[in-house]
Amino acid sequence: MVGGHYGHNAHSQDGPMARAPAPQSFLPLKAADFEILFSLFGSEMHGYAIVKSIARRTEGRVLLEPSHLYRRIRHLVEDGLVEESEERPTPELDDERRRYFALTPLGRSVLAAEAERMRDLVTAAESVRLLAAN
Amino acid sequence: LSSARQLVVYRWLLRAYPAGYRRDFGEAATQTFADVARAVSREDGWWGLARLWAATVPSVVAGGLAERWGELRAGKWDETERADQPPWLWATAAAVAVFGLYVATLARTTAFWDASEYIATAHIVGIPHPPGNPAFVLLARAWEILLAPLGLSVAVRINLFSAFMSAAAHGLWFLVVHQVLSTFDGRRAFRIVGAACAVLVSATAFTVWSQSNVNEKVYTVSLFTIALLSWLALRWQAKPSGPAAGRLLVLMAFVLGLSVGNHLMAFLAAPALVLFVVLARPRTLLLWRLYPALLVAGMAGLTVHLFLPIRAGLGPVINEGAPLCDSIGSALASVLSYGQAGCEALGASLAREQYQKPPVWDRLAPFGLQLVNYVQYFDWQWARAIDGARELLAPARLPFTALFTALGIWGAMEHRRRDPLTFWYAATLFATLSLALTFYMNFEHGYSFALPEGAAVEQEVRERDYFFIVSFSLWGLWAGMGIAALWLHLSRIGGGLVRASPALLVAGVPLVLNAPWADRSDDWAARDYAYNLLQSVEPYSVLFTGGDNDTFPLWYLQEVEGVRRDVQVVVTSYMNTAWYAKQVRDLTRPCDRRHGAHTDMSNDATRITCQRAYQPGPDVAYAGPHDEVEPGAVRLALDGPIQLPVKPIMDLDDDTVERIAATWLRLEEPVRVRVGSLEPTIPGDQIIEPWHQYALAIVDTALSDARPVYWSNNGTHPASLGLREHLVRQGVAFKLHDAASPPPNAVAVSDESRLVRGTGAWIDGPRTKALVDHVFVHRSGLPEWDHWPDHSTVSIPYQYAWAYYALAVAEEAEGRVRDARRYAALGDDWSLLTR
Repeated sequence: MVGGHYGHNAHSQDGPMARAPAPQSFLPLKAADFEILFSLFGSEMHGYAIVKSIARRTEGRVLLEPSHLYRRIRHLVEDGLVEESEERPTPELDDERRRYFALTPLGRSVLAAEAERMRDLVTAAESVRLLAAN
Repeated sequence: LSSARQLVVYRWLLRAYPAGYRRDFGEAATQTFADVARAVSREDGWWGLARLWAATVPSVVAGGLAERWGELRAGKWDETERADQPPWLWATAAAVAVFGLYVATLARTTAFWDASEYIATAHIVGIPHPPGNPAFVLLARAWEILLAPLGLSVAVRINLFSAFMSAAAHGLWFLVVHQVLSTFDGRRAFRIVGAACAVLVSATAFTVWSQSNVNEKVYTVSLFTIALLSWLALRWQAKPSGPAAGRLLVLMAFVLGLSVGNHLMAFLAAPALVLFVVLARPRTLLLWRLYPALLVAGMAGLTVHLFLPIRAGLGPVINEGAPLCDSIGSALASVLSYGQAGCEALGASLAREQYQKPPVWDRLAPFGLQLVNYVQYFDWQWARAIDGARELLAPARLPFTALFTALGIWGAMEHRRRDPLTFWYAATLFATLSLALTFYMNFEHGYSFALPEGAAVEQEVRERDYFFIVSFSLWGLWAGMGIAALWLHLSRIGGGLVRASPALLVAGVPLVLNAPWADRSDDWAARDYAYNLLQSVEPYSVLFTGGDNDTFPLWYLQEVEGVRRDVQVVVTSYMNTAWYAKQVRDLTRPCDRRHGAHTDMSNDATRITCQRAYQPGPDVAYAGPHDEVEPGAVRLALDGPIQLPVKPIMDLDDDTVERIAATWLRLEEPVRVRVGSLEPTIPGDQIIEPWHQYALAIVDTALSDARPVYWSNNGTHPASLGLREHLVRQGVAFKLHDAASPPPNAVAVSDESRLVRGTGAWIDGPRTKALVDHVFVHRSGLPEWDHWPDHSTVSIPYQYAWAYYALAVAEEAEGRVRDARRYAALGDDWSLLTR
């Protein structure tokens, strides 16, 4: 894939020996990036499945426009959080035009770090009674 | 839209994204959109689809631009765009920027000379002066309708049409220069920035700018069509020989034919286009099957002229030349022969017989001096505000003129060295639109030429720089290429493009140094003069005017703003034609009383029906002793009730009108005639033209019908009819007094006074005072301007100066010395503008 590093320049992958960046350095994630990573947490997905997954989870409040979805995926791939998956469904279920994406180990760590960051925020909000604790 | 078509549109929208994105994810995004659209259509039907598209379009455009911006910041743009892809988005951005500049300096109303005529004819779908410009009228009217939801005034909308055409032309010029600059240097940044410089210099050349921010003429459309043809020529060159290339040539022939419907100017691109085809691919000339297709396409474009006889037959209020035809066949013959055969009236209009230009070998001024005139206008283009009041080659401007001349020459030389084919095209285009056009137009001595005292030569009535707008634009492009060449040169000796980039600032010189003179955003002089003149005359008047500037703004005010349509403007310079005499007669015919209408009650104000009604305005109203006026409106008191005329201004049948139009007489001795109750003496030793005869008939009829008669000035026209001593000034108009003795309100100006020629012999003091103090409108700080921007319209400040001086005389006669001084001071302020 041809692409530049204009999102997170600090995380460009210069080669196999390059040290992986710390997950915290990606935080906070953009809302769309979090939704995409979250959708891919369970399994690999193609673009339309990601759109549907996000729409379902947000009860229709977030409907990612496809070009925007792939714009974010492009950046996530460049940052090493997402990769295009070689694995495909069985031929009878597959549509060869579809492209599948999966979380990388770094992407999984970043997603977990972002979720943790959110939980801390919620805890802080509860401690000052901004939110009611369960 | 079918699913497949929706995907075509979506793919096209994705062009907003950089090429790299489209290559990697374009198809995936399209596929996902297809899935989303299918699901939305299934669940929510067409309404859901409509909402999806409403959200998709801005999202894709904004996302694409953001992605491009990100790549630009990361320095990725050279690699991600394909080298052979025209920079559509950059060209669009250049056009938008140019449009923004023109909008920022746009006239918010009409202007002097032909602006009012074109705004009014576009608005009422009328017919402007020959050759009638049907393509302009139709396009401008369509544009006006398109912009109607924005709530802008008609004048602003039509002015925006001019701005849009010029901006679109510069978008195309961007593409052309970008391609040429690719032969200078392969780096995309160089081509983009270089093309932007060229477009900036061209768009801010004085004449290009000042014709683009007010629709004074039709030449921005010509500029657009020439830029379009140039771009199409490059596209044709890029295509391999075959049907696709042939189709492009046919399209160009159609555009050429159509552009003639705007103005013949765009057709002047034809020699350069032919040369380009011959040089690029001479075998094209042997494609015999192409010729009939080119001919048919060109003729199809020309058929836009059929609009003229069709609309003329419907009798629009402005119907210059009345190009009527008996049949479609004769109209077609006339159109396809461009006036050499077929219908006589249309032919006369297309051939512009009205102007009686002599053949080009009969020079109206020495060709050398005509070229000096061109050089004078060229000198205006780059730094007009430097010593701007000096119109003829001001020394302080010369360094800038020399700079941009040199840059243009350098740009042209580099162009020739690196891309000879497009250079010879551009050079031919430039030569045709400068040298050849100067020869063809065969102008009289330039308006601002200082001629020897008593020299027996004619001068143009105004500056003619607008005719050369395309040549100035082309020179601006070459100067921009010169700046790009300079930039490249400096980058090679000074460490790269970025370090050499200060050289690009030169491209901003015309922007800065033309702005004060090109900016029209606060010039209301023409509109306000029209208002002041129309309000100076009483209901149902005949108002004789002399030329463009005391006529066209009145047309604008009447036909566009609907102010004082009851006044019949009669421009004497058109009254030598039968068609105009018939039109003014028909416009003042009493309406059909059988239906209870005394004035024109038709819904179509764009067509001639009958006498139009006096409608008092919210601010000012003429009123008889028993008439009521709106609260807050200025009351201009009449001695009696407002009377509706019972006759047209001329009670002549068509045959008599035609006969008079052909009658020119030499009057050796003075002749005393009787018109109404007056017995003026017409001076001898003059040619009695048709307009004199019509004017006498009008005065005779109007006075017997209690229809007031006015002149817009007390100059040679009323004098040639022996009527000057019967004129009484009211505001900036002169009312013909229908009695041997002056009216009781009038104050005489001494014959000894040096002012009497301007002020008039008699002044209606109370009316003039009410008008200038309570009715007249002067916006944009007038008369406190540093200069009057166009010396050829300097008669306007003169008219005001004389009105104030006249009032000073009247006040002094009444013993009101303080008021007299105040008016005299105002007269001085206005007369300062005439210098």
